[in-house]
Amino acid sequence: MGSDYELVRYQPDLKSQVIELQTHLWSPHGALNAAYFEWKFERNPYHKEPLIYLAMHQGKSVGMRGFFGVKWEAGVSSHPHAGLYADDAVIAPEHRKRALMPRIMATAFADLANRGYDYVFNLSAGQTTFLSSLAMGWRSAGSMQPMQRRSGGVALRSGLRRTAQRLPLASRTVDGLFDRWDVKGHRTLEQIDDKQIQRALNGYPCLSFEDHPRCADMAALVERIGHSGRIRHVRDTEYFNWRFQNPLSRYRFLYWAKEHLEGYLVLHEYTSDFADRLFVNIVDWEASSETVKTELLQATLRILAHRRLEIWSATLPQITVELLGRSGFKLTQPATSLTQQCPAILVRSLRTQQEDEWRLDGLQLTDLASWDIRMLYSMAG
Amino acid sequence: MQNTSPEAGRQDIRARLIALIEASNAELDGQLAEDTSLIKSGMLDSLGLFNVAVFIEKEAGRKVDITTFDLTTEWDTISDILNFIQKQRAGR
Repeated sequence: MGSDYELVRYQPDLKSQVIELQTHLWSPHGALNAAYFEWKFERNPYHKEPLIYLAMHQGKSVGMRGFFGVKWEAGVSSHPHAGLYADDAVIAPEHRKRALMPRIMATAFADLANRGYDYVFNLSAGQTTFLSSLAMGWRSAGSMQPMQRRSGGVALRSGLRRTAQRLPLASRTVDGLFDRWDVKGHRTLEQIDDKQIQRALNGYPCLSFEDHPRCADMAALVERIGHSGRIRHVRDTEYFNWRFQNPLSRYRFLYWAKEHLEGYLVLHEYTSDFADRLFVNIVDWEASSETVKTELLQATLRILAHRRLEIWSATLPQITVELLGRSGFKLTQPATSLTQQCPAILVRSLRTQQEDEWRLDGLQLTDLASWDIRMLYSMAG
Repeated sequence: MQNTSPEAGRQDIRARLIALIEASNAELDGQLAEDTSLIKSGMLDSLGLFNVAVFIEKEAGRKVDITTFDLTTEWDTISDILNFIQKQRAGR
């Protein structure tokens, strides 16, 4: 089975092929994919050499899985641990249904184990990747428990549109009206009206809404706030500088500052034609006090009154989850029991010796209570 | 008269399961036996496995928490899957 395929590790002469292959996953645009490749694999601060495993057919790349560098910290010592995040699984359409991905992954696991890596991680698997990952020895630490907020306008539009679609004579007129509403609802982060921002921030002199990350200030705030010792990604200036350059995403930043930065909230939306662009994600949110945290969220809701918002709630403090609930966020309802686990923290040990427990600085990797996750740490954000 | 015995029911599920798996792998050519490894061998790709999971849940008539058992042992062969469905139906 599959003898026409060769499994290889990426070499620089295959770059253009990888970029072409990813027109099936990242975006249909070669130039955008090239920028994403270079950002993710060549400018990654923790691993400069692209770790990509490919299935080749007659000299052409037809399937791949990529691994990019991450840096976790855990425990009171905050001693960082280099790790790898598995992503970018794609098989060219004409080579699907040949079970190539399990072969690519088996090749990758063997090579990464030889390179001394203990674990690989994934925080953004969809349903099919999640299930096949479990079949390949990954373990889940649990769902990220997304919470979503649909504005009153969005919910009303959806309900009215469903009703109108049952009334054929009215549907054309009503559809035109809904399309105009949808344009407003789907206005991107870069299309937000300055006047709307001014109105939303009026009376809050400490708040600002900006296009650019204040990486050093954000890192200093994260450092100053400290943490519980649960596993989280290192958020220093180097990380923020790299992270917000993702070419397939757009970010905006709400800041609360007096003498120093006291809080920030990072908004994210996808820019790829392939991605779900309905939602704006709250991918990171830190503050030195609950008051500042609340003001950041309330300002977000005023600025993005017409957009659907999502945040991962699984490892947030209970007081923050309650604040989200009071602000109109609700846990998403799983479509089926098979999808209720996604998105999740997936971990796989690369150690050849079988171990029941997978640990990082003594914390069990498959226990949700060990983690302090933001969507920013994943490629979902 | 239609045969609705447990064995006939199992054969019916088996036939539909095999058809589903064969549709999920273009390289399968009548080589699927009761004990052919589907998961450990890597025969099923991610979409194929997802389709099988949906099939299992539908046939079992109940929600299946896939994180509570080892897929590579419980679902690795046609026989394993049929036994899994049977156990789920029996509520065990």
